[in-house]
Amino acid sequence: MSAPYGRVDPTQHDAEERLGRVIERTLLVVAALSVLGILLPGGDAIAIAGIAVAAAIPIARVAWLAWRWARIGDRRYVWAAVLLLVLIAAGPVIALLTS
Amino acid sequence: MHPVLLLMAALATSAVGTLGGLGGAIILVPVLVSTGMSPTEVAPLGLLSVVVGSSAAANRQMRAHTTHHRLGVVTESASTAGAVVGALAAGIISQDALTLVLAGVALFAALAGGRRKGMRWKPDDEAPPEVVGEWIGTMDGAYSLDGAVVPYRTSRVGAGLVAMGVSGIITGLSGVGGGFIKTPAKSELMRVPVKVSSSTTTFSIGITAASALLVKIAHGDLDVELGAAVVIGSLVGGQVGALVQSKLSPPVIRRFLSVALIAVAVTLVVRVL
Repeated sequence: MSAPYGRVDPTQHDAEERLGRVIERTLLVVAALSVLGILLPGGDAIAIAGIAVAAAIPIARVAWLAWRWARIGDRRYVWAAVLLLVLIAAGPVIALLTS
Repeated sequence: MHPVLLLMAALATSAVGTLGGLGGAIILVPVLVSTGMSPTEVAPLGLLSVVVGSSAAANRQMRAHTTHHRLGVVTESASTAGAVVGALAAGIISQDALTLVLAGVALFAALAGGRRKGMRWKPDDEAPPEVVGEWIGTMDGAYSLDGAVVPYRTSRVGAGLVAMGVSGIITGLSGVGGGFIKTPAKSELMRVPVKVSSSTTTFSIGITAASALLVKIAHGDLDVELGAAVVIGSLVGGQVGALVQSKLSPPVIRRFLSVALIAVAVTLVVRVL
């Protein structure tokens, strides 16, 4: 491959590693809530809370990306992330309206 | 199904799904249906396995800088738009015909990846380590392979977006996750390295699955006890898949992906017969 190479956001690696650790810790909370949900009598609400947190992680990750890209002025991809968030929101809304 | 057995099944399918960038549901769902569980009961468990497997792999894949978020966000927008269209058009095509089309697509993708030899993008001795990661404003980048820097450029973006849109329509029509189309479409059509392609798909399929899962939770379609077992199994499986992926060479991953896609095609045909 011929140079020149593209430019990498110098804070990208640190930021992604921090996000990775946050996701890992959040998943530990999700796992703990799931185990408690199974073990405790009437623990369904606890397990559902854990599952809802798990479902929120990928969506929060897209929002975080939009914020990161906005900070470095990568506007085209900020709009791509916002479009994706709108589409993610539209899917369930359409599903609920048509069900 | 006993929660412990489900936990083991979720662990195994999530590991395989993460390794190949397919998502575990494509294997878990048919397995659970074959045990007598209803598709309505199984669908939210499959979505949950994809969501948790995707996030479980995130930490390791981000540390390896193999996930290209810009590529994932752009391609998933096309897929999600396609999925909404497909969901609205559901019922137009018979499920059996659709399943056979999916099997054909999986087989084609397996052959396309399997017949290619070697690596498309080679390590570049002149590339400095600072270029590893996503390149700002582009869907290009570089990743590390055994200490060397491998730069790559994404090409045929238009064709790739059409493929992602079609995979979304198929997902919306059939309820089958599109990872087995997205990963080969990125690596063979858009010429993205297979490690980056499978990591990026693992990230992006979690987004669509999460959105669909929230609807299932709101509808009360999720069996909570079984869901909790899937969470624990997929959590471990996603990390195992990402760990194994980081140790294997791109040609080995591509061959594994081809074999997994053939297994997916056979599973889909068996569902129809």
